Formats: sequence, C-alpha cells, structure tokens
Amino acid sequence: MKKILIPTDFSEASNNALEVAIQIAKKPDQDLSLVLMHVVDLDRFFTTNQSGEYVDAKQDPTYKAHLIESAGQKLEALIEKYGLTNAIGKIETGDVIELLNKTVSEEEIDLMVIGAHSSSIYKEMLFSSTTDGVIRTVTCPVLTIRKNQTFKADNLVFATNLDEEHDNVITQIKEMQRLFGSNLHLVYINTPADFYNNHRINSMKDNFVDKYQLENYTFSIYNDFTVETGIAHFCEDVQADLLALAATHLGNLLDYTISTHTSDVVIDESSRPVITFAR
Amino acid sequence: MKIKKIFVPFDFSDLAESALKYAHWLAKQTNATLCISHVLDKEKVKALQQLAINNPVSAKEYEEQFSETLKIHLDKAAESYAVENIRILKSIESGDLIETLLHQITEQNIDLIIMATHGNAGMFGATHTEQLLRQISIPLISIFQPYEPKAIKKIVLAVDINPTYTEVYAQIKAFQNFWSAKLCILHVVTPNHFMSSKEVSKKLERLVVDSKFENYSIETVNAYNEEEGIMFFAQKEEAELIIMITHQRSGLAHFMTGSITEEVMKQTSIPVLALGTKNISETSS
Repeated sequence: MKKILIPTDFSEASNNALEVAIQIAKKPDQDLSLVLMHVVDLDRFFTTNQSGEYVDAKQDPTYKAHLIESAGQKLEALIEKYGLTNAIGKIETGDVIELLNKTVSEEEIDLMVIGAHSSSIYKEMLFSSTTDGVIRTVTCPVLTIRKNQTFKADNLVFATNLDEEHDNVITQIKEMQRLFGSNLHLVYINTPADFYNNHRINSMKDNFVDKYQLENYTFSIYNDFTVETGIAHFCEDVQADLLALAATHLGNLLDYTISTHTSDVVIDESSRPVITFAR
Repeated sequence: MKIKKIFVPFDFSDLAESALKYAHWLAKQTNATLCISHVLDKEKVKALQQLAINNPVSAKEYEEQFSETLKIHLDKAAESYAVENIRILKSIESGDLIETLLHQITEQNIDLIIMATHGNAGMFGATHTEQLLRQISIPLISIFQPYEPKAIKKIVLAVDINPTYTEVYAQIKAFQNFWSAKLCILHVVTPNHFMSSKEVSKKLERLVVDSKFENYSIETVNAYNEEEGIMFFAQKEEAELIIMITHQRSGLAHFMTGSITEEVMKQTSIPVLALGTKNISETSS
C-alpha cells in the first residue's frame, strides 16, 4: 500500500494539492491511501488572558484545545467534502517542518503533495533559502502543485548533470515514472561557465543510462546561460507536464520569473508541477 | 546543376589519384568534361637544373625533355578514366602554380574544381588549396584522404549564424537536388561564441525560411572549436559531403583570423565543398 501525505492549511492552494492527490490515488492499478495533515502553529495564535495581556496559544490550554478541535472539524469537513473513503486526518501542534519530517518517516509516506502559495508558513517553507533545506531532508518525493489543474504527467522532464545524482534519487524518479506512466525526458543544460562538448556529454549520458538502467526516455542537450533558465526554457519547448529535480537543484526555481537574454518576455514558471527528490 | 567542366589539378600523388577518381565519378553523373592539369613549377625546374649543372644540356631543352616525360605519365594516369565517353582534356604547363591554375580555370570556363589537399603548408602556412580558395569564384571540392566515391545521401551544411548566405542558397539547393540528398544544417556552439538553444533555434528557423530549404534537419552541436564540431557531426551522421561557406579574404586579414573551412579541409576524411560568398557563381540551375 502506498501512502500520499497532503499537508493542508485549508487554503485554496492546499485544496488544489489535495485534488491532485485524489486524482493520483484514483489510479486503478495502484493501492494508494491519503494522509491529510494539519499543523496548528501555536505561535501564531494569540488571545488575551484575564489580566488583558496577550498570550500565545501555548500558554493557554483552553485556547489550545479549542484550536485543535476546530482544526479537527475542518479536516473532517474536508474529508467529507471530497467523499474520501481511504483517507485519514492528522492534527499536530508544533513546528511544521519537524512534524512533516517526523510523519514522513513514521508513517512511511511514499509521496508528499503540497500546494504552493498556500499560506506564508508554507511559502516560507518552500521558497525560503534556509528552509528549502527541509525539502532536501524529507525522505520522500515532494510534488508541488501551483494551481488548480487536471494532473497529468505524460511528459516528465528530469534535469540532470549526469554525474552526481545519487542512486536514491534515480530510484525514486523511476518509481514515479512507473506510478505516473510517464515518458522520461532527460535534459542536460550546457552553460558557458561549465561548457562541455557533445562528445563528452553523450558519453556521460551513456554511462548514466547504463548505470541506472533507464528505459523509455529521451535525452537532450540544451544550451542556456544558466542552469535555471535552461530548465525553464526546455520545459516550455517540450511542454513538460511535470518537472523533476534533485533537491540540490531547487534553489529559487519554483518561483522563478525570468526575462530571456534577448527579449523582454517574462516567463512565469510557477504553474508547472515540480517534483523534488532528496537524497 | 550545370557542370560542364570539372578541373583537377594533378601532381601524380596518390591523393591526386583519389581526387581524379572522384572527379571522374562526378563527370559520369553530370556528363562533364574532365580537365586534368599538371603545372610544372618553375622553382622545381630550376632545382632540377641545378642538379644537372654538369650536364651541358640547355635549360629549355631540359624543360622540354622533362615535359615529354610528364606528358607520358599524365596520359597513363588519365587512361583508365577515358572510358564511358568521358571527355578528358590534359594540360601540362609550367609557371607559378596558383597563377597558372587560376589562369586555366578562367580560360577554360571551369564550373567546378576537385582538388587534393595535402595539408603541407607553404609560406604563411597556407596549402595550395587554401591559396586557390581565396581567389576563385566557383565551387571547389577538397579531398584530404583517399575517398571511395559513393552516392550522396546526406550533406552536412555547416553554418555560421550571423552572416546571410542568400547568394549561395540556390547553389546549395542545386547540389542537394541533384543527388536528392538530405541537408543536415549544423550550427556549432563553442565556448568563445556561446549561444543558447533558444537563440540558435530562432536564427536557424529564420535561415530556413529565407532559403526555402526542403528535406532538411537542424542540429546544434557543442564543441571546443568549430572544426571539431563539424567533423564530429559529419562522422556521426556518416555524411558523404560537407558544404562550407567561405568568406573569402586575402592577405593579412585572413592570416590573422584563419579559416574554419580550411581547417576542416585539412582534417576530415569526408570531401568538403567550399562555396564562396565573394561572387555569385554560374553553376546554379
């Protein structure tokens, strides 16, 4: 049985992610169950005590209990709204990041589906340079959904440097390729700063494909001035449904707005789902 | 494609034989006349005369004797190609090699030159092919290694993105159509002239629209220099011909910047057809 974890803050973006997770879970030949999780960040909630001072929810047990109950009810409502039969809800309090990591390992989660632009907490988790380290430590793949969509993953683009990918990452990508039934498009971005000739790149590719026994894939060499713009442009060119990245490449790619070298076109890369893999 | 006269400078070397074989193969397909030319370099004659200094034979007589021997050898070399109704014109002249060749080319209304490139650099590091290339206004095919002529199915057209080649599009298409070959348009990206895939696509698409090429493919290859990229690609594709466009320069400017066409000619095992953009040739059909 495969488990999909959906962290939710009851926002629209979270619901988008949940809807995609439901689509994935509906796959007939897979046995998938959903874990919906909400973390109440007690630091964000304040109330006044009898003396009229502001205290946070941690310090007020009644308030804390009320918050937990109210969250629980929202989660129940969500499960009912979507008519989910194979789903469980979890409410936790504390540090979002720690708790997500803990849940992933304890529950043996196979995939996390998360919505972007959901709330400042999640946004911070995804786009802050200090906390994107969390994505790198989570031991399951993380699928980021950025808008309401019918999820499809026919064309899965994997941007790779053909060299330092860890075995773990490749195993997970192949697993996802199997789960989604995707065509895998490997792409190597060649930049002026780190320029190799085709001969060299092709032999690296041959070793790579051989080592990891990749099947049903295409390989392209794509030139661009930076790796980030190269990945974004390539995804556009091949109309990628899903972009796979080793978490080491994450950076600020998810929210990247780029102007191309020779024109003023600004490309908003924020609508394509991205799946990241930690070591 | 109007090719009535094919010119082959011939120096009796094995490579020249290979060039002659190739020229003959082309002549069969185009019904052209083969013009085989040997130029007796005045310098060589002088050197030989020095050796015969003890011999009281006069300079002119010596030259005549030598010419006669050469004539016999040239006849022999051309013998095997005189079959199948191919018209062969032979000439032996003496003088400055390049000047003489150029003179003959103009006088005989040559349409195409097939030349063996030995890679021996003369003064200023230029081979005879290179020297000729800078001054002719007709196509030249260079043979650098012994090559067995075979049907041309794939032509690699090496392009430089920036200049436009309107003059030569018609010529390229004429060659392509004559053999019904596929045209593999290649751009080589180097670290010194880096271009993004997007930029390359845009420019190559524009080139294709301007030229109205058909039966073509577009490729980009990354390489440390242009010649490496062109050869890597042509070999990988197993192309039978490489077409390169030369921007003819003479004198110091050329010496400084070098020529990719000439570099490729001195390294590749595949025949290279050089088209110059200095003048428009008459061979477009």
